[in-house]
Amino acid sequence: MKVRLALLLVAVLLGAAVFAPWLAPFDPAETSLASRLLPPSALHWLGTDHLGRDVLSRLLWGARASTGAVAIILALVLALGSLVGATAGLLGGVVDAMLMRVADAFMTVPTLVLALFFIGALGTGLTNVVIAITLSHWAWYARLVRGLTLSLRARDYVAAARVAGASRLDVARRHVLPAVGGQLAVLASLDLGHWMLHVAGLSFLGLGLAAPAAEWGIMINDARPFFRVAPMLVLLPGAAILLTVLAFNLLGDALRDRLDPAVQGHAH
Amino acid sequence: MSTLAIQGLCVSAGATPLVRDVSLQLARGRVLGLVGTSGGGKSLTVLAMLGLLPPALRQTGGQVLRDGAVLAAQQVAALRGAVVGLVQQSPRACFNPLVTIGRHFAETLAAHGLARRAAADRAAGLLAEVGFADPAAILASYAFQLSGGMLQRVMLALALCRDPDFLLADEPTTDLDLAVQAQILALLEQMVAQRGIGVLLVTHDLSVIARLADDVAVMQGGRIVEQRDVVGLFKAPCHPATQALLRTHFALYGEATE
Amino acid sequence: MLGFAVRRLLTLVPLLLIVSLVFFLMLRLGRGDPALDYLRLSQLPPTDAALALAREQLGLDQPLAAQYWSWLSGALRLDLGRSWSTGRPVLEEVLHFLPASLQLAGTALLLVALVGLPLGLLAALYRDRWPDHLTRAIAFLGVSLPNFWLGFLLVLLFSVQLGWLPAMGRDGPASIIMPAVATATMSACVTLRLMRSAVLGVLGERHLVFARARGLPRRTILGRHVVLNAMIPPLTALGLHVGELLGGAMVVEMVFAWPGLGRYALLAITNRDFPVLQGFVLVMTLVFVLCNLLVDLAYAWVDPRIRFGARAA
Repeated sequence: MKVRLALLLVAVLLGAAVFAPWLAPFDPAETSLASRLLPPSALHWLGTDHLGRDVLSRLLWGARASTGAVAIILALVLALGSLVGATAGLLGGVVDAMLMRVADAFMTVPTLVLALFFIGALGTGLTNVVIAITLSHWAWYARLVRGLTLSLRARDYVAAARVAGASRLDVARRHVLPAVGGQLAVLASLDLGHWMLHVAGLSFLGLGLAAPAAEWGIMINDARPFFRVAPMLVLLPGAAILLTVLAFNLLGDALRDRLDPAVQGHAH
Repeated sequence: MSTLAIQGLCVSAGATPLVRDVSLQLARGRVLGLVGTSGGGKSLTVLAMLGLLPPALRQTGGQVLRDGAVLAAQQVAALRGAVVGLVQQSPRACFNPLVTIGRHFAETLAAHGLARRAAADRAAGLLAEVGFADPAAILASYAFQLSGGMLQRVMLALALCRDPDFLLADEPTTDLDLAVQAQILALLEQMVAQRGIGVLLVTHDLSVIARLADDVAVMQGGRIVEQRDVVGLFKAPCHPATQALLRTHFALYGEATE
Repeated sequence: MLGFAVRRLLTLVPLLLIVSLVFFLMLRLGRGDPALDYLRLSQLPPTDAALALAREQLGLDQPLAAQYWSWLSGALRLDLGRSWSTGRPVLEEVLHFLPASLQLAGTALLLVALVGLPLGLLAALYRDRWPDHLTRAIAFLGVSLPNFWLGFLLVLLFSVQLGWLPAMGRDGPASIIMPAVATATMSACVTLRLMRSAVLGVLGERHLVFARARGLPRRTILGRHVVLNAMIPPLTALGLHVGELLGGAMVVEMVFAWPGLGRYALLAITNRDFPVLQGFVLVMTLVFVLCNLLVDLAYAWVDPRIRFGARAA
C-alpha cells in the first residue's frame, strides 16, 4: 500500500540521517589531497570529491543536515502557525483581521524571494535559511488552526444550548480534532518536499551552511568546477535530494488519499 | 404520425438494476406524463432516450425507435437537439458559466447550419416566443445574471431552437416558485398547441400532470407499473403505487377538478 | 475591469513603502557594520579615520528615520544610490539585469502553460489508461526534482554528451531552452495535475449534458465547455507560479551563468552591498506585484463572474 511504501522510504531516510555518524565509513570533513577525485572503489564506495573526502560519508551526513533542517522547519511552522491561528480564532475582531492580513501578505510572497530578502538583510547561514522558509509557510497553518479554533468556539455555543449530548471536549476530540489533524498532516507532508528543495537550493546558492559542512546543496555547488571531469559529484547529491523529496511527496500523496474526504469521494 | 419510443430499457449501476424493462412511446402533439417517487429511474429513462447516460451506469438492454425503426447509437446521437430537445430541472447548472446566453444560441444554431446573423435573429425570435420582452438584453447576459425562472425559459428556447419534433422535460418546474411554474406550464401548452411537438413530461407533481398530460405512465422501483390516459388514471387508478400517489396528492391539495 | 486594476495598483504604493522600510530596518539592525562593509568593497583599509569618514559620508551617524527618509527621497527621484562594489548607479545596474530574468521567467511561464495544460487535459480524457498513468508518473517525478540539479542534468546530456545546446550564457535563441525547461518543470507538473483534476471535475458537470443534448459537435464541447471551464483553477494558481518562477529563475541563472538579476542579487548578498540590496528589494517587489496583477486581470477576463462581482439577478 502506498502509505506503507512511503513510510518505509521516509524511515530509511531518517535512519540514514540519525545513524550517519555510525554508518559513515569516513569523517565527512577529512580531506586527503592524495585521494582527490577518485572513482568508486572498494574503499570509497562512491569515490571521493575534489578535496579527497569520501562521498558516501558526506551524503550520509548531508541527510542529517537536510532532514534536520526540515524537521526544525516543521516544528517552527506548526508552532508559529498554531500560535497565530489560535490567537486569531480566540480573540476575533480586529486582532483576527490584522493577523489574517499579515498572513495573506506572507502567503503571496514566493519562498525564494522572501529568503533572498531575509538573508540579504540578516546574513547567510542555516539558521536564517530555516527562519526564512518558516516565514514563508507558516501562514497556511495559521489559517488551518484558526478554522479549527473558530469551529471549536461555535461548538461552545451549540453545546451550551444543547439539552443532552457530549461535552465540548468530547466533540472536539471526536469530530473536529481528527478532521483538522488530518488536514494538518496532509499539508505538512506535502510541504516537506518543498522545504527540502528550498533548503538544498539556498545552500546551493551559498546562502545556507558554510563550505566545509556536508550538505547536499553545498556538495553540488562545490562540485561545479569539476562538472565535466567528475559529473557524479554533482549527480549523486542531487539524486539524494530527488529520492528524499520523492519519499516525502509519496507520503503526502498517500496521506491525502487516505485522509482527505474530498479526494475520497472523487476517486471513482 | 411521427413517434419516438424507447423499448425494454434496462439500466444498472454495477449489479444493482435501476431501470427494468421500461417502454414508452411519444407521439407528436401529445403529452406523456411520467410520474413516480424520487429515485424511481425517471431521469435515467430520459437520458437513455438520448444516449446520455452517465458513464458509471450500464445500459444492459433497450432500444430507441423512431417511427417504428430501431436506431443505432450514432443515429440516437444525431437526434440530439435536432429531433429531440431536452429541458432539465435546476437550469442554472445547465449553462456554461463563462459564455453569454447569446453564445449558447449561436453554437446550438451553428450545429444546425445557421450563420451568425440568421442565428441571432432566430434566437431573438425564440426568446420573444417564450415571453421575454427584451431578447437582446438576455442574449448579452451571462447565466449568473438571470433568475431561475428566466433560465428555465431560456433553456426551453434553446431546446426548441432547432425545431425538434419532440421535447423531453425532466422536472421542468421543480425548484421554481408557483408563479413561474404556471408560466412555464403555459409555455409548454403553447408549444404543444402551436408547434405540435410531442412532450415527455417527467414530474412528481400530479397537478402538473392533471393540467398538461394526455397519457400518464407511473414508475416505481425502476418499472412502469401503470400506463393509461390521464382521466382514467385519476378516476380509477389500478396499481397501489398510483393509488398512493393520488392519496398523497389529494391530501396535500384537496380534491382536484379536471 | 479598469477599476479593478486601478484599485490593485493603488495598494502597491503602501506595500512598497512597508516592504522597503521593513527591509531597511532589518538591514541596518542586522549584524555587521555597514561602514566596514563599505570600506571592504571599496578596497580601502579599515582604519579608524576611514571608518569615521565612511560613517559620516554614508550618513550612518544620523537617526534611522532620517537615513530611511534620505533613501526614500532619493528613490522617489529614481536615484537608488550607487553600488558599493562597482560604484555604478543601482537603478542602472538593476535595469540592466532585469530583462534577462524576465525573459527567462516569461519563457518558463509559456512552457508551463503550453506543456502543463494540454498534458493535463490529455491525462483527464484518457483517465486510468496508459497516457494518464505515464503523464502522472512524469508529473510526480517532475515535482520532486530540484531545478538546479535538472539544469545540470540537461547540460550533461545536451551540451556535454550531444553538443546540441550551449551550456552557458545568454547568446542566441538556443541558449534559453535548457534554462527555461529547468525553471519551468516543477510548475508545469503542478499545473498538469491541477488541469487534470479540473477537467475531471468539469466532465461531471451538468452543463456538459445539456451541451451534448443540444447536439453540439464534440470539438465545440471540448473546447468551449470543458477546456475553458477547466482552465480556471490552473489559471488562478498561476499567480502563485509566477512568484515561484521568478524565484526559480534566479537559482537556475547560477547554473547556466545566465546574466540576470539572480546572480547580481546573490553577489550583493554575499558582499553585503547595502544600496544594491535595498534597490533590489524595491524592484523585485514591484515586478512581483505587477506580475500578480496581470495574472489576476487574465483570470477576470476569462471568468465573467469575477468581473461582474457575480451577483445573481
